[in-house]
Amino acid sequence: MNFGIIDYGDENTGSGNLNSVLNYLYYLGYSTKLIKYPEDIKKVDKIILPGVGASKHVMKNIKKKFFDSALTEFVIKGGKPFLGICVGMQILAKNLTEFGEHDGLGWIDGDVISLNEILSKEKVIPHMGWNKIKFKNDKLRVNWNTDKFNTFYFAHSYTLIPKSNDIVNSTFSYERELVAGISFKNIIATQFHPEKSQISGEYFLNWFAEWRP
Amino acid sequence: MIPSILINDERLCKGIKFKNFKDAGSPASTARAHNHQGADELIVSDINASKKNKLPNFDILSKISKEIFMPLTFFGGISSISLARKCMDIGTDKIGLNTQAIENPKLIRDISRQFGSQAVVIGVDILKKNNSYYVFDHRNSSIFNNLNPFDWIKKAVRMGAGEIRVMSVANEGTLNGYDYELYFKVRSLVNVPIILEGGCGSLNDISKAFDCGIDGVALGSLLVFADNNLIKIKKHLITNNKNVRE
Repeated sequence: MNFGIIDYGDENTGSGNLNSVLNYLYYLGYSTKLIKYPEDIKKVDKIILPGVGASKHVMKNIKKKFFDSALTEFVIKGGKPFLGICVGMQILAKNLTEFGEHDGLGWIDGDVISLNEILSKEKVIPHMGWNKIKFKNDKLRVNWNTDKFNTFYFAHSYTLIPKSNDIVNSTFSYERELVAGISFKNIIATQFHPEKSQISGEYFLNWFAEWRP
Repeated sequence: MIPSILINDERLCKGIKFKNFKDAGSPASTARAHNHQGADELIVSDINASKKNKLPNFDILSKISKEIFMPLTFFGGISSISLARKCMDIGTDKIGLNTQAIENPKLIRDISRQFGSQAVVIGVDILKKNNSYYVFDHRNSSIFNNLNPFDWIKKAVRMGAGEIRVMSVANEGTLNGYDYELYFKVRSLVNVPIILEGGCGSLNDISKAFDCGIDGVALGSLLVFADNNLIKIKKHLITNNKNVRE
């Protein structure tokens, strides 16, 4: 199993938390490769799009390095298994709003909006810390010993609101039910950070390594 | 529960009220132990970087980040966006700013614009004296005149800080208990997560912090110089019906 981690950083933004993801996969014994150029996606079995940062910056860099068309080609057309983490999930949506409205990759019909818009004024934002997720949809075949390992680390101020709930595999509760993870076909994406979630993250990443969509 | 560890050159250390620092072991192996015992996050502060105007100790930071798979906040002399970027590249999740942000508040906006608000933690060392609160300057053990701590916290959040770490200087290292009153004062001002630090000395202090609904409590001396570890603390909390992550 060879994981490719998309490195969309540039000299201005650095590479976000790519190294956290690399460190954990290395610790778990997987071989990993940083993907600096779109054509390198060919060489890996599974793709991870990590995300720390504001979605506007991330989208700009992804476009600048031509990862948008490459990802669409290899993931949507080619069927390579794909994991998006945090902002790496949010930018799959059509409409993004962090620091002004802009387009995402558009793989998911839906919007990414600020938690401030949907939660009460008193609620602590960003949603930061450990939270339990609830599994929604057995048809999506997401299971990494999920009865036991279901507490994950979150850190975000924006949330994905998909048009259809059919793709939502899990939710978490933070005043209301919000999307924890989505999956369809060869794509899975999470609002939480498996690479920061200790043993739950370990189970999740091992499951992703075995996953045959 | 967030262990808060201090680095002095290559070693861990711990003091009392920002003085009398004692050696407390190896940073990377301590971090590894905290990770395996189920700490929720880790705060690492390089106590010399801003005091001596040095670069943060990237080497130690990198060793720590290879050992832990939980959120890592780093404090210590991050005075520019390029230093912040370097820390993020190594595997830091949140950039901690203390005196650097007071001297250059624009840093808060720059870092949060690039890495998101969740990546900026503002540390405020607060000294209570004669029932008034002051911002403490750890570099020379003085106070910032003309800077009201509560105005500063509100401003920092307005500028993009996603979390506030409130340190009560008078309690720090004393094991005498947290300053809960200070927590509630800050809670009433801002809606970002707050980490309370300074003074935790017993399992009951942590229980009480849970009852107060505090977002995060930092643990220093309790884990370093007392016969405690996170497993024991969690057991105590579970026995007392507190909702902790097992």
